[in-house]
Amino acid sequence: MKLGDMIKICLQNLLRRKSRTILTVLGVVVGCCAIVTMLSIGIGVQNSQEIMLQGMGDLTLIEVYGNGTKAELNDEALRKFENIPYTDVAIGKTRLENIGFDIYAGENRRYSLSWAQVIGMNADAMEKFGLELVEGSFPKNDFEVLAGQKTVYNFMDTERPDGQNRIDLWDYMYTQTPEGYYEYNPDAELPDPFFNILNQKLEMELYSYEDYDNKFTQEIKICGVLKEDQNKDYATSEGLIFVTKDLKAIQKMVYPTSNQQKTTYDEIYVKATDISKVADVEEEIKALGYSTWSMESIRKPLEEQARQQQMMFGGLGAVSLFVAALGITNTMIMSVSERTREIGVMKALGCYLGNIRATFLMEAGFVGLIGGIIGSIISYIISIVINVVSTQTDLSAAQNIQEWFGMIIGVMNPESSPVSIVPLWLAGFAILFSIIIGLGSGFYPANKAVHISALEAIKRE
Amino acid sequence: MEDNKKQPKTMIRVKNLRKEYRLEDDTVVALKRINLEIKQGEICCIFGTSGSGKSTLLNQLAGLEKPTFGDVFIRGVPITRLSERELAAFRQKHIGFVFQSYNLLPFMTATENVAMPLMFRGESKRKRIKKAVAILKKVGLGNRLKHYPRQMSGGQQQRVGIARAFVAKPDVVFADEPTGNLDSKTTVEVMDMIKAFARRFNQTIVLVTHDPEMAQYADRIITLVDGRIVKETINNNEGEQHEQAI
Repeated sequence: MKLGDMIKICLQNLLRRKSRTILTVLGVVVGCCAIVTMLSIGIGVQNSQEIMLQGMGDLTLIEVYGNGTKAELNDEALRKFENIPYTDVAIGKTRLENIGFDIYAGENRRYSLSWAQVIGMNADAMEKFGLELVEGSFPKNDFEVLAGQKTVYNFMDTERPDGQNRIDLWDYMYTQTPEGYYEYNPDAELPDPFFNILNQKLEMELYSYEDYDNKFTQEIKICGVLKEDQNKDYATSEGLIFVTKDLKAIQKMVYPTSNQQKTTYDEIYVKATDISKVADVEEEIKALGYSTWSMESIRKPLEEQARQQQMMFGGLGAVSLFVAALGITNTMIMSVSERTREIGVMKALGCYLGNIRATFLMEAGFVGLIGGIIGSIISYIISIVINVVSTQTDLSAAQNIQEWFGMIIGVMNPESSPVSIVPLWLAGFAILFSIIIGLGSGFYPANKAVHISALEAIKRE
Repeated sequence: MEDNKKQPKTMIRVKNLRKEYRLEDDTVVALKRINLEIKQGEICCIFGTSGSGKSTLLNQLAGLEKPTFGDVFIRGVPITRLSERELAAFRQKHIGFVFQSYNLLPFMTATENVAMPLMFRGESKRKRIKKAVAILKKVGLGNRLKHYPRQMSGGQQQRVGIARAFVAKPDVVFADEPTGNLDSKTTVEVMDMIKAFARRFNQTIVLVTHDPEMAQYADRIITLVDGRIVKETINNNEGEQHEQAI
């Protein structure tokens, strides 16, 4: 028997008893919806956790701590870390120690800056670390420096009168609500700065905290302006990022007597290639004698919890799909016993047992398939309804509570992430699962059909 | 019999056939030591009252049931020893059935019902529909091709049944009380039709009936009583009967 013929027979049989088929399919639809909706909420929770964690910092970043002279944060360590498998990059950060500075720009030192977050970073790591440029390029030459996105606003114009010689970004970025609260608006439009900092030559006047009057001068050039990302470093906002060796040179200039042979870092970060590799990389770093901290220590238990929740939700859904499976089996058994004579006739006329089994399995599988498809479509609709209702309902008080608890139990406020997410794979999985459930529940009835004797055709009623 | 006429081949051979049914602690012997030969092109009637074992014999001959003992050969193939799958393949090629209650599938049209045995053989839809339509026209149902069984009279349904039995050009057609549910006029039509088909393609018909009038259509009548063949009657063309007690 050809496959097409078997499909046709199975469809004909399903259409023959429409109401029964519809009810059986409905069972699968309900089961499928239950599973998909439950899992979609689980995925929603997981997603909001992920967003929350990402908001707290780069999930692939591992902070490394030294351990005295046994495990120093130096170049050698940096190289070792970079050789660990699944390490994307190792980043060393340095700071100016016991050095104060003023920075001047413009003719006759017209613009002046007395505070900026200054850090040094190895040049090859800047881009991989995830620093993004708004304009310009990464440093190539000596004393080329990156400026934070808002660094330029901290310059004071000495030629303007008091009260107008500074730009206070707070005025732009915080707006007062009618209730009197200040609301932060990161996308607020900013005014033009006093001057364009890109490609500016700046004069950096340095002094040690031990001797304020002994000033050193170093000329630097801004080669690029960074996109603000305070999870990377505050310097991306209001600061300057040097190449490590330039910063070390400055340190040396102010403190020529300090005897540093090797470059040491204040902080080292190791970036793993993927979230799933963070634990492995951390393990390796610890084996080298260092201590580490990463978001992994928060993420892991949250993920674990989310998985448990998902399994619980999915299990609830699975129960209803199991009930639907019993429904399919029941329907198929009824249909087999109703068609006993037909099956006998088919056998007497030379139909292979395999074909008979296949038609019944197909019938059951088809019920699963249709139920799965309809169920998935309805699940999408349910998911949309849940999300709309949860965002539109005014739950400001409840939301605040949820936000607080969110930090503890891992459920996020519905504002930032939808409550229910149905990824394509989930719909696909649901359909596939329904088909398998259908086939599984058709197995016993199909066997029953196969064992009907051809003699049934001869029997007289 | 003329000398120059070739001796017909043996189509069905039954050797020492015995069938028992076990009922709780009682054993009922339905067929005892049946030996039988049916030639190609022969219309053979198995005649007997209810309970004589005629239906049981048909079941054994057609391979619907395995005997307790003995063998049935069709075209020399021991069908009693074939596996289910081999038997199904054998039926597809060599055996046709006409049932008392027609046994048409209710969700299929006349054409689809007739084409069914060809479908089991995996023939393409175009080919098998063509054959089915042709044979339905021969049985006089050219205007009922798309009708469903419930839209047809008993006689028409049985003609569809006959078309289905003969469409695959089988060597043997088993007819189990084919006219049991029909009136006398339709009975004559149906029997003439079966006979005409069989004669044209030199096919063997095994007819099971309890009706002595029906038996007259056969070339040979085998009478069963209590699971034994008690009489063989040869019908010649002049309507005379030669009886032969066994």
